[in-house]
Amino acid sequence: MNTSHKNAELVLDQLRGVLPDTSLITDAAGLKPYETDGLTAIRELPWLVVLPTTEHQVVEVVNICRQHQVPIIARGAGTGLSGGARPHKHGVVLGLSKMNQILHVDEVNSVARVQPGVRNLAITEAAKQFGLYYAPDPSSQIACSIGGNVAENAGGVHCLKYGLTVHNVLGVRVVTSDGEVLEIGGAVYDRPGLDLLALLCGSEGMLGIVTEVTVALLPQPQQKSVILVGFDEVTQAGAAVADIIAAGIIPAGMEMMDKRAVEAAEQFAHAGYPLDAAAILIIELDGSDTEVAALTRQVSEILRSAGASHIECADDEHTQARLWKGRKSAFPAVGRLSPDYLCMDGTIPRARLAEVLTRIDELSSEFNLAVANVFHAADGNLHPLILFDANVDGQTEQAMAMGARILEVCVEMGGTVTGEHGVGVEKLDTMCVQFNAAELEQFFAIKRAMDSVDILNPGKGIPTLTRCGELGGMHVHGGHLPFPEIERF
Amino acid sequence: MSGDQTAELAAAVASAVAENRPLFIAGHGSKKAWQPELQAEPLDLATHTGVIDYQPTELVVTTRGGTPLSELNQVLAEQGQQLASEPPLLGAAAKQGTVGGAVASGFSGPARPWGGSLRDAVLGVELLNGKGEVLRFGGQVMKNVAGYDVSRLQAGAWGSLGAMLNISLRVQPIAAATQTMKLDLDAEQANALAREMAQKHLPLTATCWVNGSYYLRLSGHADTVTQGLKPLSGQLIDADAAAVFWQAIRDQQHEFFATAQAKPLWRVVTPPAAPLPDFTGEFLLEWQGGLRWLRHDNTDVVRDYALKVGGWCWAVGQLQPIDVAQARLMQRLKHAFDPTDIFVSTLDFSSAN
Ligand SMILES: Cc1cc2nc3c(=O)[nH]c(=O)nc-3n(C[C@H](O)[C@H](O)[C@H](O)COP(=O)(O)OP(=O)(O)OC[C@H]3O[C@@H](n4cnc5c(N)ncnc54)[C@H](O)[C@@H]3O)c2cc1C
Repeated sequence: MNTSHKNAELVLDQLRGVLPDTSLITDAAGLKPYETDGLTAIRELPWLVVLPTTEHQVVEVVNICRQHQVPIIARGAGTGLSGGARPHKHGVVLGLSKMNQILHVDEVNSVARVQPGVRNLAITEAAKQFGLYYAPDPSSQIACSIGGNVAENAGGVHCLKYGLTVHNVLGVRVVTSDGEVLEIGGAVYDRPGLDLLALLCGSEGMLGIVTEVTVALLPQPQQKSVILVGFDEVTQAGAAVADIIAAGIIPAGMEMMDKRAVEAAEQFAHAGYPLDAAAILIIELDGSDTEVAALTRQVSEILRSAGASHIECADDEHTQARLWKGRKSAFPAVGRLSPDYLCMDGTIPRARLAEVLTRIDELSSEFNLAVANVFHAADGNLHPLILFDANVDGQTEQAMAMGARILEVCVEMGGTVTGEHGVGVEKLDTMCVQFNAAELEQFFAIKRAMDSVDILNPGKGIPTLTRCGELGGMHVHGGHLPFPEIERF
Repeated sequence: MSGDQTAELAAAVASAVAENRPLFIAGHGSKKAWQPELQAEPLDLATHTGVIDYQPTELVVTTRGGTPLSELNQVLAEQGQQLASEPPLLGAAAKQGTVGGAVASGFSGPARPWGGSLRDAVLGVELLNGKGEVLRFGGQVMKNVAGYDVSRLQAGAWGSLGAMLNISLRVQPIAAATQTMKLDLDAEQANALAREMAQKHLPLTATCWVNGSYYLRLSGHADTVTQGLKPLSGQLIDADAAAVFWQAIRDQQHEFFATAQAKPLWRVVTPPAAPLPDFTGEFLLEWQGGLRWLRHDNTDVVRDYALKVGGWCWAVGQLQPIDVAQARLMQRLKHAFDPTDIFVSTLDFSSAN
């Protein structure tokens, strides 16, 4: 245990007073699993981990931490990819994994009230008996928590049609850094006053601790069809995506993978992807029986005109699951190609896809690091996976620097540095490219308004002006970060 | 005078701050009935107009804040697209609201439960805050979690945080087919049918119960719409008449909303399946039961009802009711954008109850 905290013993005593022994972890072995989230390149042991079982305990922990200025890092399942739940060595990790009850599935109002530690997929499993489901489905859905989804405004492969977390959450209970419990919204379509719910979605544990979530549930689609398409050119695939939308069709899902990602996924999942294609699309259509049949015909025609070299339509559940399996396991599959990989998360206007891919290729040669590309093509969200080996001296830094360059390209194209994974600690530097000083200061003003004592996940999400200043607008040349002595994580 | 007024507007805010003259952000004034009288000078956004960028295949449109909403609707319709939330056009012809005013009020039309709210469609804003700074948040892409979601925070803020100079909105293709059916049902029966339909695959895009009739609008693929209507035994409404009806509901022009009525008009938002009020009074139901317009002159009765069923209520022309703890936080947020209270708005966080 790190005892350098000023009032360490006192804080510990107070926490022992409000938490059962089983909810307090202080030993190094117990702390170890909390040293990192999904961004495993960055590790740090926390001072303490607390695992409250009730909202009241959360309030008590917050009150104690506020009194002693101890940072609180909320943590769901720790699958975040930007280091949002990265611990603070003098801080408390507030894990919500023990608050994992589905409180009520209200099928008549089509909502569910759940605790923050409930896994994303568990909501759909609980709603299934009523023919309902929870729409946002991040690829991590078997593991990630709904509290973490709210904090990151998580997306999934169906979000162009069915929305992100912010579109599917109707209410939250949240503990502020003042120790106050706010009940915002509920099973209702809007709320009075400023939209605190919108502000909390994607706030990365920096504005409040989510202790309960009311989500909207949708009826399961009657019929689905999945189309696997191969193209000889990546640009053709990009154009096909635009053609489908121009025809007034919003597919339930539309994903793209490049050759390297396809090869990796195929080895791993045996999904039957065409290995000779430069890019593939996986398109899901849903609706009534006749609608799906008609849409499948219409989309296939569009794909043929767009020059598709391979089209496979699946209307049975088994084949559909196979076609999706490759995409859903793309990350671990790429993970087997290389000792380490870094997953980027830029979003661009779809029309710029070909240009961005060319630039990524150029960067890949410049840095001599391979990239596999996986995209949420429907909404322009790119996940270039940079392959590297952390055991080779300097490669982690090279990969990070290359990732930053890719994100700069996204901003240059009118996009953003993060579509769904959040800023965390990973993208603090690239935030300097996207926002100017006044905009960053506006973010800090919001943070001060919501957390005047700056104890909730301090130092994450928004880079300080000093940091941006020292990075000189974050232009990294030849892979060498300026001011290497500045802590970047 | 029209087009880009960014420089003039920023200068106007700067001088108002310097001279401590409060402003209210004025568009067409189409939502006046909803606002208590504001004691401030107008900051005129209505001349700051124009559709700046529209890429139908990107499903994104960017307009200046003062662009008439009717004009935006027209531009989108020409490309077979629309705002999925059907925000209302209030007030009199030619001054039925700006895009900025639509977002600031946060009102959504009959399609809200299925198409999402107008807030949901907000992707980015350029904001003139209370310090006279022009700041950009969000963008023109579908997904963006860089920094706090300042863009969506403007929806329903009634201009309390600043003026939206530019707004990027997500748009949606207009459905291939739309049909409206009218069923003769009392309100209880309508509410029961709504509950039943909620778990089915009907491509509903609007419901409205008024005066003993339940109107259902289905939109989508032609076959799906026809199939969806099959099990229902009602009367199909002619397409033109249906369009007029839904527009009247959307724009609060239906006779139910007529201002000549003596009793105050309440907007009550409840869980969709909540029981109907047991007090007598006139009402109109939308959003599959989730929005209930009431005519009632006893504030306590309406408020008790809304709270009891887990909803909230707001009388036209009154202050929105905001929970005290939340109001305190909202006040601090307002000051984060507007430290000297230069923007006066209909949201009152200090006297909130
Ligand atoms: C293989 C893989 C695939 C992924 N695919 C996707 C994808 O398709 N789409 C997508 O959006 N993301 C994806 N992710 C990223 C990640 O799963 C999401 O960001 C998820 O929402 C994180 O949830 P979590 O419970 O693991 O949160 P954590 O990682 O524990 O925390 C994430 C952030 O949320 C905060 N937080 C957590 N719980 C709370 C709470 N109760 N109150 C306040 N703040 C809280 C933390 O402080 C931290 O800042 C993927 C990750 C992996 C590893």
